[in-house]
Amino acid sequence: GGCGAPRTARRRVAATAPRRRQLDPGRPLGRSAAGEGLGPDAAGALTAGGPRLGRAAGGGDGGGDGSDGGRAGGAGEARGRAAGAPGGGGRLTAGLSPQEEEFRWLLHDEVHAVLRQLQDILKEASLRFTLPSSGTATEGPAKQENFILGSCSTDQVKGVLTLQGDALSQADVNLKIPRNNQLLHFAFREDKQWKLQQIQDARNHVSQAMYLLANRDESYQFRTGAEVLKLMDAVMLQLTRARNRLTTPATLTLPEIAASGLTRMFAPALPSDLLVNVYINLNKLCLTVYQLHALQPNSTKNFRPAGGAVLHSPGAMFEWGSQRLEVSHVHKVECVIPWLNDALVFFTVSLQLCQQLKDKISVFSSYWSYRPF
Amino acid sequence: MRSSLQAVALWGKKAPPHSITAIMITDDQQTIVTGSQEGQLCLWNLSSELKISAKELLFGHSASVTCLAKARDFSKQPYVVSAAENGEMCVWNVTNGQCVEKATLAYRHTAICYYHCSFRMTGEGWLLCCGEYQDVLIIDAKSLAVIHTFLSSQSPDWINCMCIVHSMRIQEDSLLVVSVAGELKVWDLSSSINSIQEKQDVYEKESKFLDSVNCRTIRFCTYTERLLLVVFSKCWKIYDYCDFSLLRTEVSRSGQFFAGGEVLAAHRIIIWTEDGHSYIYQLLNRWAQMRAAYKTFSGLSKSIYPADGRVLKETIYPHLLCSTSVQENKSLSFVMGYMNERKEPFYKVLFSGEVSGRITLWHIPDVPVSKFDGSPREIPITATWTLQDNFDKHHTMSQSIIDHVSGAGTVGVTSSEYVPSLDKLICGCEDGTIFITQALNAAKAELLEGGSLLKGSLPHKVLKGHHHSVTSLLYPHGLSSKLDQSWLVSGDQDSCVILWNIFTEEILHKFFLEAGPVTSILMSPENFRLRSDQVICCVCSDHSVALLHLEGKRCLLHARKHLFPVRMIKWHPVENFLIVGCADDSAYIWEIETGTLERHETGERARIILNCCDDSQLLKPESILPAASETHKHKTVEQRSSSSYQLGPIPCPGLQVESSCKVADARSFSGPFNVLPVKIKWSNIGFHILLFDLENLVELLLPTPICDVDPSNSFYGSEILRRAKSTVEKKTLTLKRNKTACGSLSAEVQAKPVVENPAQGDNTVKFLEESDGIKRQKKMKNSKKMHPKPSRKVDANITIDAAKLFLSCFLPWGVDKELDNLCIKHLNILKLQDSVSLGLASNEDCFSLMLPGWDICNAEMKKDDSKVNLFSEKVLDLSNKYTSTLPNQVGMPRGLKSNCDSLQEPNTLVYLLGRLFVVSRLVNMPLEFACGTARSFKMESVHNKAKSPGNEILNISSFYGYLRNGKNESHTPEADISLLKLISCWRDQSVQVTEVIQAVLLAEVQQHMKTLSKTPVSSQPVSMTEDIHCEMRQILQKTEWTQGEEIQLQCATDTWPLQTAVSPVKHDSNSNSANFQDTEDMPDRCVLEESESPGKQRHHSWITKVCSCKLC
Repeated sequence: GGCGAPRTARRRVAATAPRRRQLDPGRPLGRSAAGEGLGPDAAGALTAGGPRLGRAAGGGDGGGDGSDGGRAGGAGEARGRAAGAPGGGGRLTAGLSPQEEEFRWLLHDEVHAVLRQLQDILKEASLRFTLPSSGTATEGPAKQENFILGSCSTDQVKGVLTLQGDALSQADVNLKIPRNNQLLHFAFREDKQWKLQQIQDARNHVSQAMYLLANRDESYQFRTGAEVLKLMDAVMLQLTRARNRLTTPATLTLPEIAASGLTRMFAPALPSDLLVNVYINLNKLCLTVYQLHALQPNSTKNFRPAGGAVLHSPGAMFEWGSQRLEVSHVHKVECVIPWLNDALVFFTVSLQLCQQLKDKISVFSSYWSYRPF
Repeated sequence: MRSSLQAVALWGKKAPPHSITAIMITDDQQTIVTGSQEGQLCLWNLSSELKISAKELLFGHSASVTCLAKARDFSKQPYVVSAAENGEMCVWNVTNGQCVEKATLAYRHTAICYYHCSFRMTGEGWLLCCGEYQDVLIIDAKSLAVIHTFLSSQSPDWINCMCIVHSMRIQEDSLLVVSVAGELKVWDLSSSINSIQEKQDVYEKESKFLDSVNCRTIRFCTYTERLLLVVFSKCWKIYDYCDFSLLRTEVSRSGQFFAGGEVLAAHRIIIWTEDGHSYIYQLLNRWAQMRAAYKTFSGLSKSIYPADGRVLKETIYPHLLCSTSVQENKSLSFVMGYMNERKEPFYKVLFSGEVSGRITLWHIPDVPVSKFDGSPREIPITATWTLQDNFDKHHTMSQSIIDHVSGAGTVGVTSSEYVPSLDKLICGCEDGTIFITQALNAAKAELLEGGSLLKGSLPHKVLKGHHHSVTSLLYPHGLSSKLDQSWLVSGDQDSCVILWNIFTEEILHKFFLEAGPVTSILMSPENFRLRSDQVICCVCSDHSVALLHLEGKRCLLHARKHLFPVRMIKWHPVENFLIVGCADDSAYIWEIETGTLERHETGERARIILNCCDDSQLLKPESILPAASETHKHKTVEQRSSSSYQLGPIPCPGLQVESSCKVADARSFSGPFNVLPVKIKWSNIGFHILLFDLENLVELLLPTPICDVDPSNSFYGSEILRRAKSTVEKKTLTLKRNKTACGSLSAEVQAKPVVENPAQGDNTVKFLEESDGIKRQKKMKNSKKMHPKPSRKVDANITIDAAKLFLSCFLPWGVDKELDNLCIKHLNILKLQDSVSLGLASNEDCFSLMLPGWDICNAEMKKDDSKVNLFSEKVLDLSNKYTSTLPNQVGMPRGLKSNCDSLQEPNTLVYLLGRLFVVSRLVNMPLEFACGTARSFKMESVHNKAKSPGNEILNISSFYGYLRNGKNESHTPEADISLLKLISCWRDQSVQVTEVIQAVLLAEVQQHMKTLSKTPVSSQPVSMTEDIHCEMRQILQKTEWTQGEEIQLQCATDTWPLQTAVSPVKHDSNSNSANFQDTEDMPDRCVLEESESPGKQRHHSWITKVCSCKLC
């Protein structure tokens, strides 16, 4: 069903959809097919959503490291089952209208197919976060990855950060100060790790979403559409939060950065005129280094403390201890973390999948709220 | 909801959905508290025979409830705390359903434990919280402010569950938690109280990796003080508390998920699952049975453990004694709990709540045993109940508002809209018909005895044109007076939108949108016009948005590209853009003229776009006002989180909006009587709330000279007045600025319910206006000048009818048969058919509604058929006390004589309502008073802005003024003092407002009717009514008075043209404000006494000049 097709034509197709499905049980019901035969109302949304979803998923495959085969296989299997379902339509209760029959099929078969697909995607996503799986055999120290952070605009700061799951286990920061041609080097203390809360939270949200889905396997029978909507809302809530954790770094004030435990992670300790902050922005690991200079107490400059920001600009002022400080230079370096990119794509895809399932259910909203199936 | 709003719920036959997500039983085993995914709390009465009955529904959260816990030592204060998905926390008093404290934090809790250590702690104790953030938060149980955190040094992570261990042996309280990753951590509680109060970092004492994930419960065995039960979703484990060595692991059967567990007794535990089963195990100690080995291990354990921990691991194995299960569908998910009470008359109870809303109880025997053959015994269900059971059992109380309309009783109402100006209730039904009926009559027909006679004979209109259920309605004239009064727009399931003429009942136009069910219909704001007309905006469930031009009967734009549900619609008046915000935080900008998608943005940019154009109007599909308040909440959350990075994650923008509950806010309320349709999320079931504004009723009933001509002119009608007011406005603005300098004003403005303008369309404008300070207010004022507000005409008959209905609904019937008859005869009101579901507001966004059958929940009250609607036995007692404070002679003048009933009746109504209003305000006073003068000033400014004098809240000063002046002149002052004392005493005893209203109403009616039956003919009826008028006029007079002298002056000369005295008035108002300033810092009781004498004197100086009646 293309977007441009006349509306009435699409309606007719939709109205005959259930019958057609019965006649032709072998027809594969993939995502696009479901969109076409879904009924008058969600069709618009799905036709719009279809191509996008395809593209997004494609991006995920491309961006991933090739282990997407499992996901694709899972999806294929789901499709297969969905296609087989109408064949078992012998148990259709007499006296139900075609719409009610279709809704029955949706609740009993299609929902599980989608949930299975969703679980497969989320499993892939959680693998990216090296989630400690419930099977204890695979447990062990997460593998270390090194990221070289740089920026095209400046070569004053170079950082090598080592990520171990959701924690920074090592960090080497080199700072060149052109003024006196001094080269500063800092590294993490050996005994300490710095948790990247954004990654941890995102990972936990994904596992919450997976847990919500885990006890809705095939043996579980959905009785009303509202039940599915509630489940989808809960899952989407977790997924949106997971995504937003990665896309929205915390806005911090300078005193908060100064007080953060990160500054105490370094050996030898950071000089008092330097501040360091590490965060995730989308798929990138970002390191910012602020060079500070103290404001003279008798300075004529108007002291206005800066508010919270992801990245403070030179000239931002704050009060720390008894001193008034001003940011003189800001250096930001970053590096793409490939698996974060994958995870974000998976989030987007699964959110769209959830929304499409919701749309399919809502088409039948006149049935689900009153009569349980 | 304002405190002067009284509510009555008309529930209908179907109970609102209540998908239980959290459940607890209070310590006194009299109340079950449940929280739902829809965001409401439900209080269920639990009788001593373990019978369940739903009592009331509490509205306060706008998102799914995640957990419940007690919030005080329950025997002292019956408080329970609830937390919601969006970070809201509420503390509720479960005996009266009032919200005691509410806060929104940037944290989502999944579990809360109350901790109080009386000898080391000041204050009300702590709420230890865990959830979707690292480590454990300590929140003050009283103020709900974050005190501190328990930090972990080793692998900080989210915490799944926790328990407080109180060990008698070592006299130390500890906090045990298990993190998401399965790490067990222990913090010292009692010994770290000091360091926490001094804000020092407190790290865990011990931690151990437990090797399993998804921990659901951790429990300490207080009987042995040795064992630790940890339940994971796929297994449960027993640990030795001394060294955390594993003693036993029991893995779940396939497909089964454990959900929790509890220690029943020494070596006896209960485990329950997600699908509603539970199992009671006896833990046998293998070594104990082997006498030889016993000796080796009785010495336990530290010395042996390092040597051969492996052997010790298998010392315990479980033996299944009993099990419980629910019969039907095992598929739904359950939340369960267990309550262990050892002493009589309490029970050991296992309880569960289901997503379907069902509660099930099992009485667990003190010593559960297996069958003789050793196989497990099944413990039967003791009680089970749902909300719907309440509705079915008390079907006479569960009336829907349009049951009486012939044919409508069987179909569900899917959407409704109330038009206050016409008193019309428009209901769209499941079968596509639309009923239009008089709301007051409809309510009367449902609630009142003999009202059933009205059934079928009530005039109503039926609009037939839709073939599917009607999903949304809009009455354009209610939003903009420029639009035709006869228009109604309705949208249905099949995306057909019809424009009706409701007077002729004909279809003016049908739009076919072909975009799925029309989920909501909105109208563009007044400042947005397309070729001088406002446009209608339909949001459809395929996420498309259609703009309709009503005059031109055509569709201007159909925006269909949205992938996710539409959350927000904004209008850009200058560039003719429609900005659509979707659930996935993306923004779409449509050019209206050409219908093209101008821009599509996601992420940060979309957020900026949606936030920056605040100048245009903010609307939301579901209901207009909560959207605004939601975004506000969200803003505060974000601000807070920005400063608390270390403590918690950032809330996800947009989600709060999504999860908002569909309860429309009562703030959109104007006029004396309103019908509020309420829809619960995820369902088509809705119900109606009748709202009565006591104050407004009194004002409208009050026959002032000008009022008779035109009610809208009564106070501010003349042009002179308007001019006078504009000068005052300047003054209040400066006043306001001063106040802002003193701080706290802006916050208060937000917290305060908006004084409503009769024009509903202005509501949202005002909301923005209010929050954004003076500059914008000026702007809005200009825009308002351009568009004259609709004339506010409330039919006098409607007002009187509403007043009568109010009395009918709140009077406790059947206390005295004779009294009932007198009321029916002289007040001309009808008796209730059955008790009604009364509502009570505890603050702006929290209110409770009684459920059908609430009246049998009161444990002390035997269901006495003769008494109907008696809120509690206490009412009678209170009523007697109240009567005794009334001076005897007062009975005489207040008896409004009945020479000609028809003429006196409104006066009686005014008098009764006036008393009720005064009393209810007094009971609510401490809240108001806390804010002192700042608030009264603010109210003035809001008042002036809003230009809705009729709806002003009387402020405190006028209030005391009324009490002093209005009464002292004709009655003894002692009477008032004793009354004040009585009511402040009630307030201290936290007597419920509803109880007070009923008690006062009963007492006053008794008084009134007594005099009526004694002296049927009065000696001077006219002057008595005058007396009442005078009293009430003074209230109003004083209201205006606080607004400044000019007004006062104008008003005086305007309303009472005979008066010329000016200077005394001026003098008075000065002294008033001065007086007020002085009392600002005093505790309220002092103020009550203090202001007595000066008030009296002052009164005489002006009242003699101003009031036309001869009595004063």
